Amino acid sequence: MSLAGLERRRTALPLLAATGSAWMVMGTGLAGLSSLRAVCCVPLTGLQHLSQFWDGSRIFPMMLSWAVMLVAMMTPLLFEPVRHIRDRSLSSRRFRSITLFLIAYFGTWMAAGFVLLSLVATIRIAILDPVVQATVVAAGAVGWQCSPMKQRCLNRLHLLPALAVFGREADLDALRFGRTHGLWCVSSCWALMTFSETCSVGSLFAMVFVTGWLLAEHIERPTRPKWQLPRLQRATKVVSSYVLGACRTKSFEILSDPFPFVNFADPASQRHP
Amino acid sequence: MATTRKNVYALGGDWADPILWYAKAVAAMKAEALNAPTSWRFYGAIHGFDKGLWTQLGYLSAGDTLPTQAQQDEFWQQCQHGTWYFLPWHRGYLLAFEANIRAQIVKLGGPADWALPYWNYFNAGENALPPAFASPNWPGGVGNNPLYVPQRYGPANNGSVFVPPASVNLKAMNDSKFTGVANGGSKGFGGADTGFSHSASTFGGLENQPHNMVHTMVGGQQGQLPGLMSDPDTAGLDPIFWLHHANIDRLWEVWNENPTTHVDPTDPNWLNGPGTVGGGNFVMPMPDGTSWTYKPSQMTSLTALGYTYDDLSPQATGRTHAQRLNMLGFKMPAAALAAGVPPMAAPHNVELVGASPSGVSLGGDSTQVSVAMDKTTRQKISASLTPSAGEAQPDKVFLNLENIRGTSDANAYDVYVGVPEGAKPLDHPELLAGSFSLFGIRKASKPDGEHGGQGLTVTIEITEIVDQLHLGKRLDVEALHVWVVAADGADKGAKVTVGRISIYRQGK
Repeated sequence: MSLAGLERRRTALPLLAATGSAWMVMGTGLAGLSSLRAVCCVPLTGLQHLSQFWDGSRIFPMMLSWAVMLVAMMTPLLFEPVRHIRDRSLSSRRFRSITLFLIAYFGTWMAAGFVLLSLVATIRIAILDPVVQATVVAAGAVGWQCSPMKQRCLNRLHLLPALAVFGREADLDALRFGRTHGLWCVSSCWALMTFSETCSVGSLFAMVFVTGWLLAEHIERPTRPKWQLPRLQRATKVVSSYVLGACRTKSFEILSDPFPFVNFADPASQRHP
Repeated sequence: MATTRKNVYALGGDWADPILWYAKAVAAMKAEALNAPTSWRFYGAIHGFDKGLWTQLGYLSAGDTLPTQAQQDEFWQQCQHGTWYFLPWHRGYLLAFEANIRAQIVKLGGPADWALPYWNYFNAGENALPPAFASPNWPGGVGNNPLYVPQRYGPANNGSVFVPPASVNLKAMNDSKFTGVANGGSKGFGGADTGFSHSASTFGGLENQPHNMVHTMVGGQQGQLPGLMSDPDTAGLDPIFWLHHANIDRLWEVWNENPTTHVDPTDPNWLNGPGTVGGGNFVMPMPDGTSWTYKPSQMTSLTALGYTYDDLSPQATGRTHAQRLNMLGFKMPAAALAAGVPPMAAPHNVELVGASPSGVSLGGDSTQVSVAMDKTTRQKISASLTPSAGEAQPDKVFLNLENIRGTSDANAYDVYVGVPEGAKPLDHPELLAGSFSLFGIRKASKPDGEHGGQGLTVTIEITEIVDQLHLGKRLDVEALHVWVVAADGADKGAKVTVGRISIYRQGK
């Protein structure tokens, strides 16, 4: 592995551990939380009126569920910003700055959660049939995903700002970065998150699908905002290259002598793979 | 038998046969329509394309038919900059271009063993643009020399095109590792593995110097318009581009051979190219109408490709690791001295030492920035530079100019570190850490461009200066003064900002 690859692993492993733990909590009902399906759906089922949504006995477990969902689904998207803070902070301040970033980032998402979950509750009250609910929200999400506004938000997620190094300014910069990144992330992901929250049928698949989709669109290169179909070419290539790699029985031999060389010095011998 | 690429100044005259055939073949490629995959402009667009800039510079008009979108997606805008694929992608690009030129030459009745010359601007008396490229006239006519482009303005932007010897260096040849780290430490000779990141835009040693600097020095700018060589989106349109890159390719081979401990990466992610991390394939249109897809693993052996250069002599400059240890006062066993101390293995630990308190605007002739340093980390550097009973592993130290943004690629700067308070940087040439150009900054600064508006980040090793400061007991200070001095000919009114100037240590 390259030196840069080793550096990346130092950042990636704790994030993978965090997201894996959150998925496990949801999937197995650890820590007093109900199972995945219940975490996603139960707090918002059976609503007759929006005022019931704000009921204390409902909102606390619902926001706790929302927080666990966020850690599970959003942490994989935080590799670049966390690596950026790690690389650009004094080693003595790395933990502190990353923590402040995460507080601001997830704080932004939690605030957005009130709005998004209210939206989901409203949809649930207005449309009783769960299949129609999911279809309506999916149609809206597709429209957002294809829009230039969505691409602009995605582009801004690649912005990694300069950070102050010392004292209060360093703390404030980490908080500002977390807030700004959180805002762009909410702006970019709200439609798909609403979709996954609305799916009372097949919620596990919806969450896994949305997480994979968010990750895939996240690794695409920024591009000019315009109406377009979602771009997932890079993720498709990565997946296919790993699948193909796994299919190779003698991968190392192929790597060491992968292709016939073209002898460019001899025009007559120019054969192309 | 291997085909030998030769020094353009050693071909036997300004218009020796190889260069004359090159000119004729360039003319033939230029005569083809833009949408022909083997045309001159199509090959230029493989490196980069910007509709607006091409139109402004007169390389795209309403009468042109663009290639199909599928062709553009497959071939255009492939250039690999700011990654560890820089060298292998450009080697394949050169090979494919040369095959196309050779095919044209054969069609015109020329030699089938023609090879692309290279321009070694480091040779004494050879830093001026080769004469065949400098005049609009040529043996084939008056005012229509295919090798001449008017949009080539030179370092002073006055049309006098040369590479100032002081502006370029070969420090990268001393780097013992091909690849480095993507954060503030050494990027290595060939660049860092950037993985999925789109925001890196950090250059390997050879890419920063001399590659980027020669682009800027040759291209220059006129008003707001860059010379062709100054911008990655137009550089491939200039016939001198190919001789410059042949020299860069030659330097890669020189690095590989001197010493033989210099080796290319063996990581599958490098060998297989960016496809493994979702990037595009390296694919070139060939003269027989086929497409050639290649990977870095195919580019590592020039011999296997049937090529060599007429000069592969060592180019390393500067002090050796043994000289450094000796200067710092480390006692080395006689046996180690006799055997020659090998270069230190690149340590993994990269750590921020300090940074400027805010962003910096590079305006006027020069800009002074104070880089505050963390006391604890600074003391780690001092301790590593102080001889002790343990293993001698002195830190390496790097200056980073992070997130440089602007709109003009044609500017270049010198960087001085540790200039005493009240002194002028030009009075302290020993404190010149290095130089950098802004090649690629326009694209990297676009918020909706492929780098997400992150700009460029330049890394300059300042180990030698830090050693001097340490020995002169001037390192134990709260802040180091850094001067960024605009090179002659730079547009001093250009808006160029730096997000932060930082110092990193790389060591135990």
